[in-house]
Amino acid sequence: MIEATELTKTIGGRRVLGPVSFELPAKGMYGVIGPNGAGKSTLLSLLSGVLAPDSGHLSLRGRPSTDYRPRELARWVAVLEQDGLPRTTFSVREVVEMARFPFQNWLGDEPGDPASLVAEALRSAGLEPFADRRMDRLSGGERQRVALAKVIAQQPELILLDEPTTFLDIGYQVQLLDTVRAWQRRQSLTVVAVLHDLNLAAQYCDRLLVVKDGAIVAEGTPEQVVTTEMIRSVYGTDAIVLPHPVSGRPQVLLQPATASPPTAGLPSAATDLPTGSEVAYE
Amino acid sequence: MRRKLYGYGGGALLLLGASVLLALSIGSAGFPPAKVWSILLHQLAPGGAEPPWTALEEAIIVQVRLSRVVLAVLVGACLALAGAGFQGVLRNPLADPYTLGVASGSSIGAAFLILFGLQTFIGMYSIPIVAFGTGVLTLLAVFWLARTQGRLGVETLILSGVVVQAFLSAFVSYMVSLSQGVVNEILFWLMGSLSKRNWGHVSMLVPFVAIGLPVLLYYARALNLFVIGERPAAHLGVRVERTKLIVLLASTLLTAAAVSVSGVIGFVGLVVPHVIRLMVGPDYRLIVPLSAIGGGIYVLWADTLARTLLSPKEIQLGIVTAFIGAPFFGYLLKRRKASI
Repeated sequence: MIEATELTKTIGGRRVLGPVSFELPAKGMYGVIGPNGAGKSTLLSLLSGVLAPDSGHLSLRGRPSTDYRPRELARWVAVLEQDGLPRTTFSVREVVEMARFPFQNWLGDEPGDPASLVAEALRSAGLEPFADRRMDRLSGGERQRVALAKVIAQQPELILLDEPTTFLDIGYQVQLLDTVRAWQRRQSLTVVAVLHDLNLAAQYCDRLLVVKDGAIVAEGTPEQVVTTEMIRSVYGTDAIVLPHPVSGRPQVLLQPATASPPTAGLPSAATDLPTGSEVAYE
Repeated sequence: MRRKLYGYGGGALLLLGASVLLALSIGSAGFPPAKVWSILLHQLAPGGAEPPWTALEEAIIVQVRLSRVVLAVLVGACLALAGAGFQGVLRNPLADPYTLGVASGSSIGAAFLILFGLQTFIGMYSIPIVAFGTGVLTLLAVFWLARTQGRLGVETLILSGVVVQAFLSAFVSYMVSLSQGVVNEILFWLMGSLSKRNWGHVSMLVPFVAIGLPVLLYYARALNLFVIGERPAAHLGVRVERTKLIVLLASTLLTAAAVSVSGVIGFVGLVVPHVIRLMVGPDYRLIVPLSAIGGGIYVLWADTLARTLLSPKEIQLGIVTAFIGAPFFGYLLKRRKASI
């Protein structure tokens, strides 16, 4: 599905990515993790065709990415972003219908039955009761579900998620990723997700790529990648990694520098202040 | 969408037709609408018996009034279309055809000719031709200022337009202050008017509307996607930079054409697309065509008032459009409280 060889990208005189090489076969859910500014979103923009690589070779479905016209690419690649959709006076249904743009002629017509596709997308995102409501009357979480329905209505084979859960509460986070994974499994799609939350990444993805300073520093299954050592070397912080009691996937417990076992009753300043405070701030 | 387009579009066209007919029969020499109709029909299908009107009456309707009415409709269509295009690309409710400084640019050329008495140095259409030229040059200057790394940023564009407009307006004001005997003529041109125009002016505008309207209609769906953001639009296959450039170019050419034949007529390009948006919603597939018709109706009635209210004196058209437009817009804003 995706083959990248020695890809680089420089933005504003700074090399933000590369050279990176990787291969992502079709029909998998891939996670891209790494610290802020590591080049994750740039990588995703190269895959979506919004940015062109400065050097190297990127092939999508066996064809160089730069060979595709934007509309051609949009017929099978969809992107879900973190900031969702703005408050507009368009209705939910109208926004979801916009997903059909790359399939339409200039009059807005397309062969087939777009109305039932849109209805199906609204149903799978649980938006049927909202279909005729205006976007400026929805909450942030609801608008992100509209963004998901829009991606579904685009009928892509490759879905790129750019930190889609950033502004969502935990209920919506799980709901969104559950929907995406069920859809991915059902239709054998390929998903590449940039995720900030290591626990979600480990829970939902089949394989993970770890990006740091524009390079891929680790790659493998969540069990291989999400380790105390990786977190220390990539994020520069100490953490405890435990298997999830149900799924067995590795889960990260953060460890503040001042962490200490809970004591009975109110903590007293005398016992809780770290004695060697230089250790705490190093 | 289709049903809405045919419904509103049909209604708007009927209203436009009725307005044209009515405006033709209003004037210092009154004509009943039936007579106007038969004169017009006679133009389309000449022949038959001796017509029951004089050659002078026919000349008033066809040469004087009809050309002015058609010109008013075209100027309104140009400005409202341009306003819709600018609002679509700049995504700013304050954007109007003059945001990028085109009006000041055209005014420079016109004011220069008037100041030095060169109104006819290349024939009777000297002012429109020169004003159009300086308007387009202004656009190029704004694009050059705003372009960074091959991209046209929306905020940079608006700021560049403001800067260029401020500079050029100062220049125009200076020319106004330089001219002593002809101060009024420059000022009057700046306030916009359709008096003493003819079919030649009409034919200057026709190609712009004939090309601008289809171009903007073609990009209406892309403008809809811009409402949800440039990046999401790019992800759906819109060539964002190319679309912005073409829509801005088409809108600016429409503006420059309108300004060069009629002077600066304010408020049409700002208000008409907003009113249409309040009526039919945010879909540019409706806003673009309905703005063209609505702008035509609006300027037609404003011009009819301008030439009849204080007859035989004329009020400057730009004054009338703002005088009606601003309170009406305020009323709509207050009543609908809709986000625009």
